[in-house]
Amino acid sequence: MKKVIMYLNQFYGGIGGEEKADYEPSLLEGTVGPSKALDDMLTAGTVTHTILCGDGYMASHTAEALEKIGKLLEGLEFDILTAGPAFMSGRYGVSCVEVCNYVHKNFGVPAVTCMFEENPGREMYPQAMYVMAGSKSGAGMRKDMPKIAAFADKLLKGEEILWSDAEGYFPRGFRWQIQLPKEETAAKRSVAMLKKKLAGEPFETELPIDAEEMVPIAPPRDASKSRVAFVSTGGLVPMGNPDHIPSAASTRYGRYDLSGKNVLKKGEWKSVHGGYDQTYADEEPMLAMPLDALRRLEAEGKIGYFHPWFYTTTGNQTNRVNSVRMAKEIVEHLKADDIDTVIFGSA
Amino acid sequence: MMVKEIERSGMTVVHVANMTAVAQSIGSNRILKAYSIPAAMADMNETPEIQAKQRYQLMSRALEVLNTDIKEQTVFQ
Amino acid sequence: MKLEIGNFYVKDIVFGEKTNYENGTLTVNQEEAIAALNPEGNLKNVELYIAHPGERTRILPIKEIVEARVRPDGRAVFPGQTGGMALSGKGKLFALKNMAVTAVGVYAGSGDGMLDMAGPAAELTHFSELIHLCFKAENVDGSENVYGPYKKNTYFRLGAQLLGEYIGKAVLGQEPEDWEIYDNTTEVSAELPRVGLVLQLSTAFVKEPGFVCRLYGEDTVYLVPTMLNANEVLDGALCGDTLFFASFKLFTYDYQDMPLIKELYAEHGKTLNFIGVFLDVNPAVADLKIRDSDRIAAMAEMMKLDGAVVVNTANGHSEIDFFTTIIKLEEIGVKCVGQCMESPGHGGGMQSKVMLDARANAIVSTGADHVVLNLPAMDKVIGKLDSVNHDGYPGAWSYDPEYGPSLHEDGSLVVDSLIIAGHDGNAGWSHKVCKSY
Repeated sequence: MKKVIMYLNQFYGGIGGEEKADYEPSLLEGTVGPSKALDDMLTAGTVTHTILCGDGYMASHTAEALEKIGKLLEGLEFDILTAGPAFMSGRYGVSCVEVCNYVHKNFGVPAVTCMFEENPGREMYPQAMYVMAGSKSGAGMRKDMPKIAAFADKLLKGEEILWSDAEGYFPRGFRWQIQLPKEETAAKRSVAMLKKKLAGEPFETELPIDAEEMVPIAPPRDASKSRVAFVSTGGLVPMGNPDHIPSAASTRYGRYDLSGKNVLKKGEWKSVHGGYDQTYADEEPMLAMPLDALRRLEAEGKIGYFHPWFYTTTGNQTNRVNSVRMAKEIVEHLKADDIDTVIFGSA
Repeated sequence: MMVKEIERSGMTVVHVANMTAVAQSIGSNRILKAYSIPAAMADMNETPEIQAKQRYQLMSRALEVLNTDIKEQTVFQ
Repeated sequence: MKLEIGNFYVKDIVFGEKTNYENGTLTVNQEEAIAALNPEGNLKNVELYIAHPGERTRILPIKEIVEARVRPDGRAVFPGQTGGMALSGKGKLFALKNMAVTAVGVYAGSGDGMLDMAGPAAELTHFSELIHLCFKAENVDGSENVYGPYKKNTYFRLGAQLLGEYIGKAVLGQEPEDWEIYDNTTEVSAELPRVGLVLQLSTAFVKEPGFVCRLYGEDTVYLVPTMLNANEVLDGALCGDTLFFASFKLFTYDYQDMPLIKELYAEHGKTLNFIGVFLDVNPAVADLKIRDSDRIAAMAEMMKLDGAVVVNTANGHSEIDFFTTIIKLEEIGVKCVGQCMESPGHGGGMQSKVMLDARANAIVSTGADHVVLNLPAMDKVIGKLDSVNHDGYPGAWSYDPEYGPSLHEDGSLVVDSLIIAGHDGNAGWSHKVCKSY
């Protein structure tokens, strides 16, 4: 029999309500509440332990809480971790995905949780776990538990995991090809979809594209009175690519010191961007990063202050999760130098 | 998408890109059209001297764009 | 225009004394056939082979695939290309179905591909369902006799087209088994929505002539978007390119038998009014992309289109043309369905397209353009198996840190689906789709 460990908050773990929200992580041998329910439903595994932690403690001491959970799990054998369901509870949802992410990364087991689609935890670490689409309130417990159990059973049995609609989990940012019956050709599907669209009938796109949410437009800034930085997805890196920036689908960026430099010299920099002919930038790195022009504008007082670091990665086919993460990390660096203005170069 | 995340923090960003359609689709607000995909900052067919001038002009224009009040996503030439 | 295609269903191909067609069997005189495909002697070591679906046969490197046809009235099958200019799309045409004429070389380039007639790769492409009459050859002029990217393959492409015409002549004087009628001269109810097909040609990337798609025998490098009668496309006005990857480009065969056109025709006069084909292009310059999408939208407005199927036939910056055209059409009220492949990468986690825009709210996915395939050894090879070890193809390699070399000692392969001719089925063949995981 395969072994399952489940994470619950203080409320569902029977410790107490909001007054016990600062409850520190503990490990219960056996089951309680939802973990008992899960154990009863599982056919391919048994719940051996239940981790309990207060939502408040997890929210205010995340790193410590996760580390404590890591210690509690040390030496235990288990095949998957489950957590929740968290419904629309923001703190509980975030706690569930934090624990799922931590345990998946450190113990290498699959993790499954469940919450309502608008729960802020849902999109935090989409690729580290499966988040089943769950109910909005605790009244949906009886609907959500069987979803966790059925999916956990599939994972325990090593069965093929189908696409998100078919299994009921939120898309994790992957697209895979499947084969349809031979007669369902793209031509037939295209014409059928067009007929529906023309007739005003509902149709379902095969490549869902989320509308791009716009951010508020930042105020205009006079660069001569601003602190300016240059960030690029043009793929220019120091010769030898010391940070191993990938040529596409990047997960990393480089941060390089421009202090004392007025130009970028040929032979010291190269492009690793896989989406265009790199020979031009190799020949003249400033076709990708115009340092000479920026230094001139700085000397002329048209740029008040120029940030001494240059941030660079490749922008082609980089997915949203990695783009957002890299940008947030770069923003932290820029904030530390009080930067308010950014020139962003891309292909 | 990186441009948008940076602007979300309150910094004013000019996105210098040749493929302005892509810049628009990822939600950049201030977009300045660059020279080409493989050589964004100057015309790859020009001499080094002219390229240096073009870089200076493009970056000067970028500073103007940063200081322009816009009400909606705008592509500058 | 009214085009009548008389079909002959080939059940087998054999070599014999006289080239003829009888009771579904096509007999080919090899000497005559070789003379027909190589009239000026630009090819050498020309040999013919036959490959049947289900046989454990691997064909590579493939440079062109053509349907064998003939015009009873003597006009060239590919006007401007294999003979004098004469407008395509009207009159009678004979076609040999269930088979293709396929040009095979020795030295692989960027536009070349591979076919398995059995095994897992055969499931993935419509071309593996056909009987292939292949010729294998080398260029007399040695300049392209190297393993490396861009090859014009001029005499291979022309050879396949000429061999197709020669084979087509075998059915002259016989009565076809059935007729396909493509007639857009008849009155159609004004109530029906007016629909166009926007077809992206591979025109850009290399300015030198000789690589890209041809329209009436001329390269389309500088083509400004234009409009064709759908019959012209089915009738040899367009020939395939030798630049884009075999998995996603359209071979000449794909234009001759384009499923998207046939499906739109099937609804013509019933649920829609199929107006015609608008050729879109994919220049590497942003302003030209905008100009070309504007041209499509302007023509669509002139033709009073209500809807369009917009087809993306290449990845990379061609996807910008695809989305820009859809956006411009939607802006003027033309309801669009886009058809495209996706590029989520080997790990499945890359953004599917270079550009995504929610205004493209109706998309049909033809699947993923990069899939790692482990393919068993085949009993027979037409062409040169070792060509996968020279890095000429996209999708095969001599070295890879993760996968090792594409070719293993026992003849089995690990390749990317980019090498499989027709893998993405972008003419509308694909029975694949990407799903969110």
